[in-house]
Amino acid sequence: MRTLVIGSASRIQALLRGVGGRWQPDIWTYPARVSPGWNYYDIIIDLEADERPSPAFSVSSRAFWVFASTKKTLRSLLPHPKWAERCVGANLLPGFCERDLVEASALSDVAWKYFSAWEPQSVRVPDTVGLVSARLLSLLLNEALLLAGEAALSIETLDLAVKLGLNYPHTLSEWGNIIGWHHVLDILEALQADYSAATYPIAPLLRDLASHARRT
Amino acid sequence: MRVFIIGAGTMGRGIAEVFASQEAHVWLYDPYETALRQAQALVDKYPNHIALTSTLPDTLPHSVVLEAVPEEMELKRQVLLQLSERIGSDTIVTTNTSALSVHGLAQGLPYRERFLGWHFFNPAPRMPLVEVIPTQMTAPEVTEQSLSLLRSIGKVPVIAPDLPGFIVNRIARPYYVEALRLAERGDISPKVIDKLMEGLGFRMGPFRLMDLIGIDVNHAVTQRVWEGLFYPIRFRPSWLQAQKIAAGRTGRKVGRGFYEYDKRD
Repeated sequence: MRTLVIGSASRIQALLRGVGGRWQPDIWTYPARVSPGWNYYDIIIDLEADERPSPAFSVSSRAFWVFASTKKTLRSLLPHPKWAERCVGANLLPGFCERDLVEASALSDVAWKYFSAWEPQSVRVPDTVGLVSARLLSLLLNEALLLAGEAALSIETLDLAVKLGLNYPHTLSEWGNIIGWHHVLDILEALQADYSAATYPIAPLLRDLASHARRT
Repeated sequence: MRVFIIGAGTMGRGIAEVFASQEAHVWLYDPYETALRQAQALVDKYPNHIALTSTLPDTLPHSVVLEAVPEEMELKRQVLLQLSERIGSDTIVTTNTSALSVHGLAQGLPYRERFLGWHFFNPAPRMPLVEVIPTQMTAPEVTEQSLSLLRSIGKVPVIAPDLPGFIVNRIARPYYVEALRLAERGDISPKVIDKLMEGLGFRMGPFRLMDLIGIDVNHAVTQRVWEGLFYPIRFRPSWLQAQKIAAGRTGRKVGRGFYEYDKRD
């Protein structure tokens, strides 16, 4: 299968460190202006489809598309229901794409059959904001930061609690660095937009950390 | 160091072992013979450091008296009140609680300046963290003594606010509650959610972990945190968990929870 990955350099690097390494894709890095020759590829993976308009809908391509869809649902990304048969949405964020499996949603069984035949380590999940693992992890990190604000606790104290009291694989700081606090905030904001601010309150400290992460 | 522990359940026994392994002299009290029988293995392991008793002595001149009875406010308060006339003038009294209000437990205690929470994690001998929860009435030097004492037995203490769930049980709540919320939809199974989280490096996915903790115990902690924080929507206890409890499928301890277990597990 001729595979192309499109996205910013840092996102592509993260993908290639993980599951993308075995796909051996060609790469098209934003903001490249030269067309990669869209019709040459069987599968095109857009790592930032949920952050900026995907070229998928403006180019005429026969390809099957894999859209990043943690910050928006796959359904909301598609301009027309007919697209459902030729794409899936996946969690391809840093920190998640290093897993040996691909967490993805599909709106059509035809699309899922095609994708899972190409990537046998895929796990089908419902088409929800954050899918499953990014949703759970983002909420966990946000809760820790809410508590930090409520009780004037330092991140260092929370890191100790997470690592030594919960035996989690990483501390909050480590996770923030691996995933990127701005991605965590984007998921929380998407959850708020889908539900309500009362259901998913956002920690002020998360906004600060995300703002700092975006600047650096 | 002389330590008196009230309650020879899982936590009481684990904490007794922590102290005994560091050469402290530990008295483990429980009025129930069955609990003491389970603790006998500890005496065999640390014969010079652990003694069992089914009688609460009239005087408790120990450095630390630690209460580790079941997580029920009234029961804990009764036990703590019984200590009033027994403890020494410089004894530190601690409660091992995972989610009850330490201020609530301290109310009316004549020794409240020497009272605070110590939250050990299960299994106590292996988990290094201890949450130390002083109240507004705890003398600062008692908090400091607690920190040094816990460090001296190899633990890593952190001062936690007396808020529902303290630090650890509060942070962990979304791991369970949100996973339950997703499973309640019916279009994703607990097994798939566990697989995804374990793929991230978590030793156990949320459902496997709830089965281990006890679905009823986990539900009760969520309920307390939800009530204590004045009912935020995000911590609303799960109907799926409530159904499991009603069906008696409370986890690994009964052989059935979100998963089925062989009785030998």
